Amino acid sequence: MSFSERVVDLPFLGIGVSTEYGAGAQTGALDLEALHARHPAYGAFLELGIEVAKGLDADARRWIAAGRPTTYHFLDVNLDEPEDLDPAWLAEVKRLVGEIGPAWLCGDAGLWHFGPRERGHMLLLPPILTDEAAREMAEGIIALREATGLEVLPENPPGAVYLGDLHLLDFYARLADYADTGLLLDAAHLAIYQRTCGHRPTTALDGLPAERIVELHVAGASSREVQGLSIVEDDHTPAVLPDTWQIIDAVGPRATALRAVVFECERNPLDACLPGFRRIERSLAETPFGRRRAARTAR
Amino acid sequence: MSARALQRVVVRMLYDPALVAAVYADASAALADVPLTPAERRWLVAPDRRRWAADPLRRTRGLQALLEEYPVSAALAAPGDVARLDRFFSAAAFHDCIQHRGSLADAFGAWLADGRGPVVGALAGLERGIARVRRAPPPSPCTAAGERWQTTPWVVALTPPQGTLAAWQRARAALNRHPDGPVAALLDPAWAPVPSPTLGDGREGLIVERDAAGDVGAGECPTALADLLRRLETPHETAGLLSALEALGADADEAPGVIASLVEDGLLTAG
Repeated sequence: MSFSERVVDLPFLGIGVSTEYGAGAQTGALDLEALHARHPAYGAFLELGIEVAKGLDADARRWIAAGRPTTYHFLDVNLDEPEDLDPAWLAEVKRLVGEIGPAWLCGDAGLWHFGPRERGHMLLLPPILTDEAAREMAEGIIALREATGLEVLPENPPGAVYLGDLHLLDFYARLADYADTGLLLDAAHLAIYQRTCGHRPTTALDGLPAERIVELHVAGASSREVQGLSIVEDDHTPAVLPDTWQIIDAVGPRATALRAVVFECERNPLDACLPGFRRIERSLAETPFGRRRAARTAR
Repeated sequence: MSARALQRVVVRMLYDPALVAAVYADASAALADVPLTPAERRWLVAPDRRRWAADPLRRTRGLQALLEEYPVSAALAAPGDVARLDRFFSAAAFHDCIQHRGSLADAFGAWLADGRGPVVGALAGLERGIARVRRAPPPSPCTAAGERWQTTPWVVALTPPQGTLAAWQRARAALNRHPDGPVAALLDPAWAPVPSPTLGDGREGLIVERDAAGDVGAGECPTALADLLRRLETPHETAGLLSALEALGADADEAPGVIASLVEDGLLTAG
């Protein structure tokens, strides 16, 4: 089946949040249970950032045990390296998928670790933005999709240095085509890329197949100086850049398959995050996503 | 392969400002050993070069993770100033490791052991063995009926100078006493430095192994057994193993029983 046929069966999740192992235990972190109890419309699902070596923490287990919707965000696979999808890792992913029951898999399609998957090797870099790299990464997405039976949505990662002859959005457009897959667009990461390259926030958005965007990420970012150079960092604060809102405003009306929006604010207290949730809700209200969400709420 | 080779160069440059300087000066010369196209070499020097230093703590975090695995040999290699071991990230050993998809902990251990004398070499060798065993894939189930044999991946045998294990245990215990752990002890100027031990002239046999729970331990063994297990790091036919056992003094009729007991003890597996 093609993606356009498969996407019909993907569940609509709404607006949710993300977490990683141990994130909820940090001082001032988002209280997932309080979010779900007090603002269920903003905690409609939980995206679980997972390293197989660490597994699931208590917050994740509690959410899963309550039978609430989830997605599985991998943090430990280089999709362009066939050797990275080794049998032991795949077996553990499949076991976790069985335990969690996520709607789909997703994650930054870049370099999660250099060399073999070992302690001390972790980092996150964007891919080399070339056609060759897109083709290699597509192979990994197809392999993981076939191994798990779930959609695998590649996400554009953050970075300080981007190399290649393609615009980042053209890279992901080709990747989506070669892998016949849906996409996870991280609007904050894209805003960082556009600034880094001296582009406007919406440059080349017209080349992105918006109808393949299944999930959208929104997060805050902040600037800091390095040797006199301003570097924008994806720090998941609630302070979302105006560029990021501009991207969401541009993409929302065209994202006909959008089913999930994550506000990545896991290390911030709930009250500090509420304005961001409300802004997401407002920005997407008059889009296919917003209308579908409103219809579900009315039911 | 070219995109992946280029991605590995990116990692190297993010860790090593010296490489950044060399690449911006002459990318062809600095990366002569990497099969990159002229366009790829141009891409590397296209960003504002300050972007390569966007994460000023990258080396510090990397070194901290390595010190957690090499506390004793690091203390002896750079007494009172372990921070200078971050030179590793500019060494050929680091660059070879990244470019060839190696293990960073293993490369650091080899780099620490190289040219710093027999004491640091012995202790770095032991900590490298521990790091290797920690990362080894789980052994597959094995019976004593194989045709090729090799040392179990969860086992590393060593034959360092006599007294190495005891010296490591003493130093490790002293570092562990710091309230914030061994790495904090290395960085704490008020903490007593690890004294350089005196090692014996002879060799001792050591086995480093991981148990089913994932815990790694080291213990002494006969040097002949350690030599045999080191030799069997590459698979050997049964005939070769029998010959090796006979050379160690086992009778021909005893050898199959010895193999069976090595398998039962989890030291040997089918190759």
